[in-house]
Amino acid sequence: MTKKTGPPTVGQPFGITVELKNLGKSTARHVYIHRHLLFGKQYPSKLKVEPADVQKTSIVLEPGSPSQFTTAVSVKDTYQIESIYVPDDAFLPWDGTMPIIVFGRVTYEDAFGNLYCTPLGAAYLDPNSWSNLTDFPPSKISLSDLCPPGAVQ
Amino acid sequence: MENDRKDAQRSSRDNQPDKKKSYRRSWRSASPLRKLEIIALGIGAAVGFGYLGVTVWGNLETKWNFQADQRPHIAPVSYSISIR
Repeated sequence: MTKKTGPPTVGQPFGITVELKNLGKSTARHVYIHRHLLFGKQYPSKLKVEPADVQKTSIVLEPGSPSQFTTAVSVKDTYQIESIYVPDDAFLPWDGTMPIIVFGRVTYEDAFGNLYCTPLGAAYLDPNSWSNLTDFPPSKISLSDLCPPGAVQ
Repeated sequence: MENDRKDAQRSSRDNQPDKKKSYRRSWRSASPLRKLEIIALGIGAAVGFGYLGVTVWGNLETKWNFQADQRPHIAPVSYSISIR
């Protein structure tokens, strides 16, 4: 997947790149990103809340440091493939249907080991505008439900 | 007669230094000055524990406020479509 931006093309897989920044005052440690993309009939039937992560990453995001970019790609099973490498047969071409939803969460810790979480949820409107979501109708899942229990949002 | 016997027993117990006295009997047998000392000691201990509790709670609140103020906060700042 190249980094060209623009509207998705029917018959081609696509991705949604999320730019993340640490707007706080201290280092975010063990940054763990989940990002998913659903479109058309996949939504909301395939929308689900993922369980808390067992593993920890070594990713660190300093306050004021350059943004971190992460891309969710259109695949047949968004929960199966979250790595950078996506096999060709796993891609799911866009069929031209809406909505296009990107969602997920970023969990991280501070120096004291306190767990924080930022839920992600946005709907694509056009290449220049996105709608930040607070819930995912008609499902009963709200944005804050994407975070694991006990994490400060 | 019965009362005399009980008084004698109580007096006998009170005069036995080796046997442990109950708190009630110790309190009864204490002089007014000793009682005042014990009350003052109790009040002092309560004030001390109260001060300790307030200090510990204040320190915890300071720590929580500091952590909330200094916390990391990762936020999405933009979204964009990537195509082939």
